[in-house]
Amino acid sequence: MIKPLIIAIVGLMLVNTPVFAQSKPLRIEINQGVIEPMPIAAPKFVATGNGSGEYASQITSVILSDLAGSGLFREIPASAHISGISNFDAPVQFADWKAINAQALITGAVKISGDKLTVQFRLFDVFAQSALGEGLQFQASKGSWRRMAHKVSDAIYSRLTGESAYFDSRVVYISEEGPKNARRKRLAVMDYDGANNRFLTDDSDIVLAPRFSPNNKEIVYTSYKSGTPKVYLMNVDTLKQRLLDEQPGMTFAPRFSPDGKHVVMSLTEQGNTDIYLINIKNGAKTRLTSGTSIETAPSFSPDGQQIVFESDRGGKQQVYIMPAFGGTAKRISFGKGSYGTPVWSPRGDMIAFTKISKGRFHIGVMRVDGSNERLLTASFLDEGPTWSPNGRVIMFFRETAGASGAPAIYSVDVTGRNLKRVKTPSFGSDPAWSGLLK
Amino acid sequence: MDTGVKISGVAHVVLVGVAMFGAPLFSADTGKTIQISEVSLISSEEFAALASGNISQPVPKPEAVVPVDSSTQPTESDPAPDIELDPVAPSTPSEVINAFEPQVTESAPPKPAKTISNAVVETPTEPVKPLPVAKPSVIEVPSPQEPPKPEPDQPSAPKESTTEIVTEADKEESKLAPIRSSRPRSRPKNLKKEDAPKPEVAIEPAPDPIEDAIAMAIAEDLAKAAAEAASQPAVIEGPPMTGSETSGLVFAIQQCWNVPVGLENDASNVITMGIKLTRDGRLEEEPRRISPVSGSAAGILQAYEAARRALIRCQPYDLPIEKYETWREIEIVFNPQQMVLR
Repeated sequence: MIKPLIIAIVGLMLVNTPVFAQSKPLRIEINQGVIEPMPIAAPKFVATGNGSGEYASQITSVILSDLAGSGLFREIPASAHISGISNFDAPVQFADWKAINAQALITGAVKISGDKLTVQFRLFDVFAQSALGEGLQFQASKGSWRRMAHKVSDAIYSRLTGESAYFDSRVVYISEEGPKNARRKRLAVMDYDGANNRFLTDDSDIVLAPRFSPNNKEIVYTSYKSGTPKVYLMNVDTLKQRLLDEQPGMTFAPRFSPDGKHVVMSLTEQGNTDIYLINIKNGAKTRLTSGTSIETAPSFSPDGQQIVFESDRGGKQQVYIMPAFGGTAKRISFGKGSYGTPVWSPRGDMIAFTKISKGRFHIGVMRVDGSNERLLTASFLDEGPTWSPNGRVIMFFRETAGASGAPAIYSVDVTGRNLKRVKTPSFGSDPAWSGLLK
Repeated sequence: MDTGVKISGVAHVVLVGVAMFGAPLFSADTGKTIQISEVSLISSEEFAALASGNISQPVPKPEAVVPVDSSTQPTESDPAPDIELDPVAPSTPSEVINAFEPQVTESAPPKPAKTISNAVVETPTEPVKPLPVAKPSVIEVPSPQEPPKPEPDQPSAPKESTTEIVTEADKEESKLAPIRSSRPRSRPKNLKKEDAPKPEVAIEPAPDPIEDAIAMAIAEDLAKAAAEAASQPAVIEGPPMTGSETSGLVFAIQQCWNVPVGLENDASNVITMGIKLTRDGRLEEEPRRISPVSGSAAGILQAYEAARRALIRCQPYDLPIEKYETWREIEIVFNPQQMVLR
């Protein structure tokens, strides 16, 4: 009985000796990193063809502006570059880019032939000394150079972050001019970065709350054209417009369903405001809420199954969710203060809202079940959030106090970072982001 | 007398055994997962002092951030603004023409004399296949080791100072050591029982089955251990790293790891990488992906690339040369879960 013990002990001792020694690699866990803008370098794209030089530098600069503007990347200025790219197909001298700590390198070429503009680019991981994905090429008429630049930015953003992008998109908003007590309002559309501003209406009627259709070709908005607020539908290209619901009553706060076939909106009849779904084709209306309280600001979930809206049925404005065909609504906002203008994120996981608490306005986000509420901004008046196509950025408008107070459009990351103003030719309010353009 | 001799014999054996197995109890453990949760608040000077030496390449500090102005000025000088009338650009971009000739082969040559280069095939972009080949034996490692590191226990471990970090690392180590010594400890107890209180029992055949069972179990363990040892290449273990050496390494890599935002959204993007280092702390070959071996989850590719970038950027690693055998191969788990922002 003792023998086996002794043998075992001796045996185990042997195992412990170097003869049997084995080692597993040292193992460590990294659970903290840095979240800082990734340094990128994009030397001016190589230009080929008459007059391509100007395009090359403009396109390069728009790409850098897109990427750096996202707050996720940092441009290494050209002045710091050790070498440039003079031949798009020549091997990249990674050492030169590593030396300036560029983590990603974008090289590109711009060619002009006739009215056609061709933009090519490649993306490199400088430290791994390898290409990230394959190069891409876009071709279009010269006039679309900006969109091509945004498309390049989108491709780079997606490749580096792993999520979809939002640069090739537009924003429809209310452009405002004139003194506060006599504001002239017009519908306007612009690129997401404020470029290519274009007015869709003149300032003869007050207009409000424009929203894009899922295919980005139409907008619904509210106009006082007929004296009372009514929802109109407009084709963004032809500018043709029509009244959506010709029956009496005020209609406002419209928004498309994800399939683009319906519009959900508020309708006020005899002093009672409820939410209705209207078929765009045949005008058939379905009432989704009832009761004496005010229900408004409906917004579909991306799967079209549910609608989030605001209601004062509990005594105070709060956010509720109900099935898309109406029915029992469930309250999801429970914080202090009141909540309004809820908008469902295109990713489906969050809801952005305006919150009024202690006399301050906030733009915030919460999960669909109302948990994890986070306020992203605070000011005298922040309102009307709208999501970027990828659900990463929120645009809204901020109005300053006082007699000379005026609204301006801002954007902020869903994490609350990178708050900045979007340039518009005049005052701007009520922005609505399109989806990514096709 | 016979009994006396036996008792004395057994006692001696026990003593010797404890001496032999107890020994590792006091030596620090090398091949264990080390978790350091919070290091972010150390200033670089403090850290330099702590690690007594330069840990890594100059960590890229975000200096003057380039003016990030949303609006792009080029609008004014828009080369072709008039065409904006049909901004939907019917004729526009969408014709995404595919990759032009791969050319990557060309870009390979300029690689400097760095060791990474030969591994820089174009494939890393689809890093799925090549990596697992490298060292199948290592792939098994994570699974047995993963369970013991339930890192949820310090999810909120907040701001600590330099000294505390060292402490924490040490704590970690001392916590690990006993795990190894548990076997030897339990045995002396058993022996004592048979030993002191009832020596006669030893004479009687009755307890035999128990002892035999113990012996069998031990023998089994022994065989298993030996087999395991034999199955893996015998590498001579280097002296263990101290807590501060390890936390210095962890800190260095943290500073190089720029967590991609897409990743923040997905807590499941934990990547385990393996590196082999030369004596001067440089990568002997491109970092390899241990797990997940592949993955289609959105962001997994970016997670891998970010981890790879961190490991490449961080070299040379400043590690004690006398412990080269210990850190020659390192497995690094990149776990973004505590950095998830939404």
